[in-house]
Amino acid sequence: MAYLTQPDYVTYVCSCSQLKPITSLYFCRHCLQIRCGFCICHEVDSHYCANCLENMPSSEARLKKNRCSSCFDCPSCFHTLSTRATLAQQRQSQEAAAAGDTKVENKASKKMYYLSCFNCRWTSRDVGIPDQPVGGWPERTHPHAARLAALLEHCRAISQLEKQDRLEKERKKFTIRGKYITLTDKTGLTGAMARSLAGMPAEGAPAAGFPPSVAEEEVEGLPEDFYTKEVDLKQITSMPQRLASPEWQPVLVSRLQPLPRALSVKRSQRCRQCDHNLTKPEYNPGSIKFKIELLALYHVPEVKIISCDPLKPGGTGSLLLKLCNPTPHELALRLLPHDYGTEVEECAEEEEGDEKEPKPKKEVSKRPALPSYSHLSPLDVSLSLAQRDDAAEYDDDAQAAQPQHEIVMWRKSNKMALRLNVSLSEDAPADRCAVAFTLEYSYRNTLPPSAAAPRQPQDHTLRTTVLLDLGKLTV
Amino acid sequence: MELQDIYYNKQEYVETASGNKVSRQTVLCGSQNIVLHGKVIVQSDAIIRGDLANVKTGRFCIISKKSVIRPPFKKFSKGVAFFPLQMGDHVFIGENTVVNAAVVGSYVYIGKNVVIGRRCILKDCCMIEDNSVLPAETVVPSFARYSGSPARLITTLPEAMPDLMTEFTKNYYQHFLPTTPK
Amino acid sequence: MMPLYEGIALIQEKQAVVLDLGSEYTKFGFTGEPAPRCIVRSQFWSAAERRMKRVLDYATAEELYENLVHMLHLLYFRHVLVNPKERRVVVVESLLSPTLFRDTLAKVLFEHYEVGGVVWADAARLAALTLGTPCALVVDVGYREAEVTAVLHSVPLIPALQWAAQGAGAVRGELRQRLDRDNGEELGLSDEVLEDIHVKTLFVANRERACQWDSPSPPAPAPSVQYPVAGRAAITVSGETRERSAEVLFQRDGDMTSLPDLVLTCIMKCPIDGRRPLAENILVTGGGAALPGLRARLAQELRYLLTQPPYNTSLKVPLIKFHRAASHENCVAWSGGAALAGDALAARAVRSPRPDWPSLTHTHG
Repeated sequence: MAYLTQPDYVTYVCSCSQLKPITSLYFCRHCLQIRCGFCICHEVDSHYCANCLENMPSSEARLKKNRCSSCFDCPSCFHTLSTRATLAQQRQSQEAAAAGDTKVENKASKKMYYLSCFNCRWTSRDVGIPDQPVGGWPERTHPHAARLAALLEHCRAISQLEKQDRLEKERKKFTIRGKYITLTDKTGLTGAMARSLAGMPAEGAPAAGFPPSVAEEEVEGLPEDFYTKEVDLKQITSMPQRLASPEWQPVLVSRLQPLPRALSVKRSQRCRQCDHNLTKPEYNPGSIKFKIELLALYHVPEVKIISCDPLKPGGTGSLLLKLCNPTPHELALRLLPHDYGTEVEECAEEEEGDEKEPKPKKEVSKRPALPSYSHLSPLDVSLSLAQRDDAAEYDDDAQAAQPQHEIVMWRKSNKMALRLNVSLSEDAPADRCAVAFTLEYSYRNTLPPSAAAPRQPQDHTLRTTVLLDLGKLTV
Repeated sequence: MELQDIYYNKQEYVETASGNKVSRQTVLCGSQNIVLHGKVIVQSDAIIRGDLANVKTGRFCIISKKSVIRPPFKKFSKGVAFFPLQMGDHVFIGENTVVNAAVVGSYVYIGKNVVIGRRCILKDCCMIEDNSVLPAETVVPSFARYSGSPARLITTLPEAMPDLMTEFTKNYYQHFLPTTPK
Repeated sequence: MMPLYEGIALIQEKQAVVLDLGSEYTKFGFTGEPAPRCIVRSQFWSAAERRMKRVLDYATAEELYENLVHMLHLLYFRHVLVNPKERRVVVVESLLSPTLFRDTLAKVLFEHYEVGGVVWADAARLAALTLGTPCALVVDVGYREAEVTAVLHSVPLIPALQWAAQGAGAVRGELRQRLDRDNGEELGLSDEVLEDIHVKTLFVANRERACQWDSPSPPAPAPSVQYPVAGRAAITVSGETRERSAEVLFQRDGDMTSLPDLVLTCIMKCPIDGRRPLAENILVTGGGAALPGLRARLAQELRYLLTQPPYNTSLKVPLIKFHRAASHENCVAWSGGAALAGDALAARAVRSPRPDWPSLTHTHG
């Protein structure tokens, strides 16, 4: 939880060189690489309404412009509107007022609905929308729709012409395309001017149905009383209220209309290098489960800072770290300096890498700037960490196993605490100090390399670089 | 950073057989209607209004100081009715927070000084940041992080939210220790 | 037969998206639709910094790259809900868009989102497209800048292009100063509050009134407004502030950078046979142009300036005519971009992640 409420003290270097906390990292079991939201491919999986939690097939969602048909947002404060039932018969009572209230009582009272906001108390009655029977709120047409539809039609016609033109040109193989082609090019400015001087119709002559807009000399100014009228702030909409409905952009509060609620999507994520899914959610909108969930938190040892001595430039202090093994296999760990064997690593990668896959792009091989003013000691220590055991928390006895190294302070099932020393050089920045190290860990891949290969777990040795934020220094 | 130990006065808290730790300085109205499903911590000056309707919590819930858990009501033409309040497992409720929700799912983090309006539905795995106000009848979807007044979606949460909340609440329970009597 | 065929084509071909990334607001939606799906602030939630971050807040190209990735992620997956992969994009941009920005955007679109092609279209030409007239003088009042572009036969005349920092941002700056003066203290209002005051209370008075302000007998100011601000007493927005904040756009100085000067200079720099039609086809666009009274005032100023030096001797345009925009001021260029569809789009789409910008302007002339 600290990951969400506190700054990111511990960040891992992703294969794309971004620094991210482990919670926003993924682990591709096929490439054996850490991936993050930045270097993977996101895909829309399914559309659903976050309010009524109903799925909507994507074809329907496209037709409905990604809006839920039954839920509405408040146009004033954007909170969800609630549907209120009422037994009042508005129309009938109006009729009654007109025709004398004689037969009103005979008519069966019908349930009518209106929308109301529990946050700002806006209701659909405020703007004069009549109460509706079950479902079905009136749809409005866009004020500029006709003109823009004509424009679209016009553009379609032109593009059709262009296409024919191109086909024509391809047929005539012997058209001479000289060096100065642009001078007489149909679409160039000179050509267009020449044509209009010669009184020829312009290229892409206005198709019927799209008359050019007519400019007017008279520009309507402000009404005279604008300079004397008091401004009622409550009657004018704010920018967010206007932009919430891009088609209408109402200026007056009395023109606000309920906003059909925008749908949300479930996303699945895919590794860019091997195209395998990293996460795939379940279809059900209410479910929090995933069909595929390759999170770094389940595959890569988690490092946490327990505490750190106050440090000053040029000084040393002890740093307590907690390591946790999330996998069901025992881990062999090795702490290394962060610049350890970068070249070796790349060579190893090339050997392991699939031949047919293109090499990762330039960004991938780039490394972020890691601090060189701070060092951890002792490094190059080999340790082992027990597997995750969900039953262990019910065992009473603390693990009796001997710590295999003096830096291990304690062990508890799949967790252990380490005491390390940080030494800083004199030029360490006082405002935000950090230390980096590389963690080498064994990884058992239970995934068969190919369908034909026998199901045999393969062991790999992987490395990841971790950056620890030690906060401010005491000077 | 790792959670530090939180010490409480042994005399102040009652520990039940199922591992609930409930402060004596809480107001539990209608305690027969309150079900705490085990390993739940209810800290001092919290109020749970079981007298209005049933209140059920799952395992490993943390109800912090001065928070109020109050079943929601609904107005009908013939009066007012209260509805039970259900809470899932691994829920954290911060200090000075008022919860009037109908349903709080599992793995939910509610910050401090938050007001959850009546009959809100908080789905599993969501987070309401400190000092937010959730208007009545809001539905907070899974993996959403809400903030502000009125609270609005600001970003999404990591997929590992269930694990994070499980670890957090378990850790909190383990670090919630009685002061050793001298 | 034809409609059926078109229907199939619509299903088969992925609808392209139109992106107009402004410094304040971003307009995003599909081609073939009358309005953008969303108009949102150009900002996103930065997880690392735990705050909303504006896209154009960047120091390095890498930071811009990251900002754009996050912003587009938000647009695609929160607002428009489609996969960016192999879908075409129409980018509506200013002719003055810096190369670094364009390069980075191209890189983000192609390398990060693997889009199916990008049509780079300038805002002025697209705005002119919505009119259907052969010539148009597009006055785009954005947030940072006002740009005046002459578009002749759908070719923008680059040498005549005029711009200055005379957008809504300039008005906002003036408003901030005037509010401090009205209330006799440094208010330090947030951008959101300032924007709200801007859209709710400001207007542009006509020329006659504006001249009176400088005369010894100023007109009776418009009623002042008490604007409530959270956490303190209401602040006063005086009538003078309301009507004179936007005067910065019309104030003439030696640099000739007032809005009407930009327009007339642009016309003057155009070929002589283009000047009259341009003056008779003025289109005012951009979010900054939505201020009540701005268009009318601009017309009055233009007509007045034509009688003054240097324009009275060198510029002979008898008529000044204005078009009514085909959609809301802030999304005119977007609407033009959305009109590009089907084949026209496919023919103009660029597939290279590193387009050769100078030649690009010719290829889709």
